[in-house]
Amino acid sequence: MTRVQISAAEFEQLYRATAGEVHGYLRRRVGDDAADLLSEVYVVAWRRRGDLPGEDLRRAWLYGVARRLLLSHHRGVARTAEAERSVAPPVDDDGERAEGRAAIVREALAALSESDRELIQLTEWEGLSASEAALTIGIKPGTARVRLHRARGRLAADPRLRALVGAELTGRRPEA
Amino acid sequence: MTTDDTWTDAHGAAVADAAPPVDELDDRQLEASWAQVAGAMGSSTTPRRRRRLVTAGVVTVAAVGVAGSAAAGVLDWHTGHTGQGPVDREDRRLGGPGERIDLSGDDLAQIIVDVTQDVPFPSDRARRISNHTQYVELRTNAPDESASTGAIRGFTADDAICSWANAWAGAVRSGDDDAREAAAAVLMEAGTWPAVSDLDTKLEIRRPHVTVVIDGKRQRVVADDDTRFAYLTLVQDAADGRSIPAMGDALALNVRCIPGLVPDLPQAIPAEMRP
Repeated sequence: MTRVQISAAEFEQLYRATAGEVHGYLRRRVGDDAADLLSEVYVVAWRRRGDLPGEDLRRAWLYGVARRLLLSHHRGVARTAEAERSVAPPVDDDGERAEGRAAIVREALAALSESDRELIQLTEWEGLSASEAALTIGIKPGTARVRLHRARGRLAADPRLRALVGAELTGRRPEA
Repeated sequence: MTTDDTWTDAHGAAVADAAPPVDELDDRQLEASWAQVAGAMGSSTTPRRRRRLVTAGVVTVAAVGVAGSAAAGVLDWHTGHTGQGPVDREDRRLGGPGERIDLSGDDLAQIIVDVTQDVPFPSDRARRISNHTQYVELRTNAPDESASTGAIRGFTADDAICSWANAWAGAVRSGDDDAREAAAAVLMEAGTWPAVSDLDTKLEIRRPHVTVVIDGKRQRVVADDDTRFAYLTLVQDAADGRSIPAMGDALALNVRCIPGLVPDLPQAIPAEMRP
């Protein structure tokens, strides 16, 4: 991995270019605590700036810093679920249906292992590539691609998700 | 037809749609968080002083109007708050009112954001540029000094006046009368901003004749003894007369407008500072 020196001004540019995404990642996982964690991510990143990779991998590297802080911020699954509920907006009828779909998907996600779930979420929720997700989690890109493939397979085979996707493809509502 | 475990775009879309929606980080949150980061960055790049000696007297630094340190008795302490104000009228006159802020404090960026919140800017972006520039200038130019909150607020008021003048100039150029009048109204009221009136209630241009000795000869010259925000009257006259050149001169001669604050009024940047 190519490592580069970064000036304070360049670091601020990096902050301004990525803070929104990193905040979204944190907010989806810890709710209101994301604001505190966001600054902590960049403070840690500045202190570890000697490890900063080249520009194309910096976003993933920051996600990795955020992920490690989240792990140390451990509040348990219940707190995470609470946070996910707390950031969800009030729903109308259409929203209720969307929330119903989301609940089904989250149940299916919850059945995966933590590492598989994180791979899926990093790629589908945060828009990271498999290589970026690999850096975030701290595994090799090839390993990430294999794990991601398997995790997607497990998720696709989940009967709840199969019913949901199958119903949407045929225009029918999934059975409750 | 797919097998039971085939991942399709529909699966990806279903998972993506299940991501908990989150509000975007707004400018205020972005700046508040950056202020914390910048403060920590400063502490990691500047060696911490284990023991600070009290600096007696008052020192003025022309570019930033910084008063001498009054951080008495502070040992290994890294917040910028000192809890101390001016010690006498002279200190207040030279250094400004309000708490003396230790410019080496780790939380300097946050303090700047906090103490300048009431200074009105036409946009969050302009406020952000001002806050950041004040932080960099204070930290860079006078890291071993202190500045009063009054002085910091005064510099920020200068930036805000530049910003509103820029908004005014942009409206004049585009023929947007409503926007021009709105910006002019703010400039007309700027003398009542606490950040301005705390430092200057007179807004007075004073050019007394004084006698000086030059090359051994006594001569009568005109001295510049304007009050701190006297230039605001020139700004207001320019706005009233809808003169962009006059607005530019008023600011270029009296305020070092930050270039990023005056993209529609480049005349406000002193010639030697223009890119």
